[in-house]
Amino acid sequence: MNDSNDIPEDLQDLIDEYLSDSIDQSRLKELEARLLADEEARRYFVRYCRLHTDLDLEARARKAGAHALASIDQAEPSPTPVAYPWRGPLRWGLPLAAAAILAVIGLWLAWKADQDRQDNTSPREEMAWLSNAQNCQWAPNMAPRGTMQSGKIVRLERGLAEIVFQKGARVLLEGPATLEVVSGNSARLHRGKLSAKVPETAKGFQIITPQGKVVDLGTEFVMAVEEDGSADVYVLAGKVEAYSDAKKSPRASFLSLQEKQGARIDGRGVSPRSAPPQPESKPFVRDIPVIVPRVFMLDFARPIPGTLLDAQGEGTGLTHRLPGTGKRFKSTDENLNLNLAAGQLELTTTNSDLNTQFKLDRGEYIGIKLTDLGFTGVEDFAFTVVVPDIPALQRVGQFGLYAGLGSDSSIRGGLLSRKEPEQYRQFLVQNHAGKDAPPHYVGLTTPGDDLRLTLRRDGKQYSLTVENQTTGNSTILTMPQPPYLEGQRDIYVGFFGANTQSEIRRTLILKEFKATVWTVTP
Amino acid sequence: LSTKGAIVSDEQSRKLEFAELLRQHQSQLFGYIHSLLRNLNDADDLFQQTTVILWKKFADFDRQRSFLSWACGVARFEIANYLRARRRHRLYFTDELNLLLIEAQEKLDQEELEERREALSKCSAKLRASDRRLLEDCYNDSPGIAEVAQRYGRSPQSVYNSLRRIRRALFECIRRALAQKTGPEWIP
Repeated sequence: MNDSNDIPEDLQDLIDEYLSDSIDQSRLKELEARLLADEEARRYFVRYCRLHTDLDLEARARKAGAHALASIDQAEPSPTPVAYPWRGPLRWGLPLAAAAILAVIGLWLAWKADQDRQDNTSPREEMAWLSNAQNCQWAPNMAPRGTMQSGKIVRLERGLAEIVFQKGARVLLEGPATLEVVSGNSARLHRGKLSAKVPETAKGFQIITPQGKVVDLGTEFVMAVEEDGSADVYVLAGKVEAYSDAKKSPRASFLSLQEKQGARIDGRGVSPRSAPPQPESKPFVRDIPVIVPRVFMLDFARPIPGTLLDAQGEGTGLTHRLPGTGKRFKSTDENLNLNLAAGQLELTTTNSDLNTQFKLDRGEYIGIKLTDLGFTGVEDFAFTVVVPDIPALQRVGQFGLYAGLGSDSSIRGGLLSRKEPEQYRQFLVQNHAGKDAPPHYVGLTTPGDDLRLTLRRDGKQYSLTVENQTTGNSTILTMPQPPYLEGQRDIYVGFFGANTQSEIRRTLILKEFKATVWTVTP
Repeated sequence: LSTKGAIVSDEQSRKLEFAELLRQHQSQLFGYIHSLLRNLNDADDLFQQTTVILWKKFADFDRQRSFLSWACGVARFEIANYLRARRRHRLYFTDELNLLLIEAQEKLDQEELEERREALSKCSAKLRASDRRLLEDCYNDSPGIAEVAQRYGRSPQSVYNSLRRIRRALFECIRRALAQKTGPEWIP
């Protein structure tokens, strides 16, 4: 970073004259020619100018500081504390922000009321920071980056984010929501839900809404701002005041709320509400929950009684078939062989298909039921099987993983054999009312490869990962969660194999089966 | 009603995005404007004017582009008009150079700006009291070097020379501070 060492003295002189406004036309032309010709000179120029800018701004801040001090001295006692030098070393960040923010404020005035920065702290100070986050997806350009200063706006698309304010208030923001940090003890909720815990040190913590504000006198409340700008607040513990901006309000413009009381703030004033606000009828989250993974794992090295039986009557360890499939296998299943010595389950395919529900009474869709792992319909989950040395199925033979309520309501993916011999394509498809939607395809795989397949639900997205352990490559296909699976509790997951539209049966080897449900403990 | 609600909320979300982008880049934008105008009050006016225009044009802003370079481009026109109106156009760079300066300005990112400001704070604390006083008198709404010189009973050229010396000393001090911070590979 040789900012000045390589810059000739005469160029420095030109820039100094330029900055002092004592440059004449011919010297300006000379400066221009030098800057046009040399990138390093321009690099130096913008930095040297920056020093000039910072010095200018610093001088202004000093002046403003002196004015503020003088006015405070005249008007004792001060109505608002002012953060100026005596509260700590004067930050050089302040003047620039002061100048720039002054201008931005002009713009903002049209948009917002004037309640900002009541506690008048320095705008560059750290006002709040992100202390915890779960499954967060932030809007572009609107994610928190480290600490947050006054004016920082964050937009959470989904997930939970805990923000701690300088004075100690804790806000748990639930996506989708947009929050603006106003000061170390206040914020503006533009949209969405939050819950707040306010300790003694942060008494007076404020959340400004589009049509009013909420002031906490301790200790816990929840609130939501809706699309139209109206806000609901509900007190869980302690005392909260709700204010409305409405002029000539037919209703009250202020309400003091106690524990288990609520209010609505809108364009007509503040009105009491008895029940806690529940937009989208979902309860408020008051703490980021602890997530505990619950794992089910099989290595096929020993029989497990009381589970689906193989041809010899040995328990495979898998517990459920996808409802609507394999009805003819009342007790043992001649297509399954638990090979204890090799630690693998061998599955010989049958000619069946979920698409059009073809001969599903002998379809092989074997796995588990997620409720056995604590699944209630909302948790993320994933399951994996290892399938070494894959055989060559004829077109459109297929094997892979499924998740669904039954044979006519599922999502499945894996490998599908192609018209060309000895080739597979990776696919992921929704099946609703027994019919496949147009599948999602990618890539090629050939018989003999070792594969590891994973089907995962993450939020509202399903993904199928095929890791090809032979080639070292992996491919992921993703798909939004189909509506017919949303919120459903009785989901079955497992492995399937079928020599669909062909009579040539093949045997697939399962080396490992592992399922995980990330259960939530509030 | 639902369509209207959607439009309103879309408008609102654009405002918030704009405010956030401006917040992220306002330091650099302000620096660019100030480097061309060299006067704080002029820079304030132009910054304000530019932000209003940026907001009006924000609907056309291409998200693939850099916000800063777009904003500086808009500011460039405003500055040219402003100077033309005040008949100070002749002391202004050509468009060609102004565009190159936007590029240079973009490379001076927020992080470096803050490091520079922090370093300046430490460096100016090391100045002699008399030098600090001279800086204060010559910056922000200064009556001009000539008048400052008269107040000090010195010649304008000698005050100008002092100012130049102080600025260069500060600049060098900042350079060293940053070189130390970024590690040995930057030490020339």
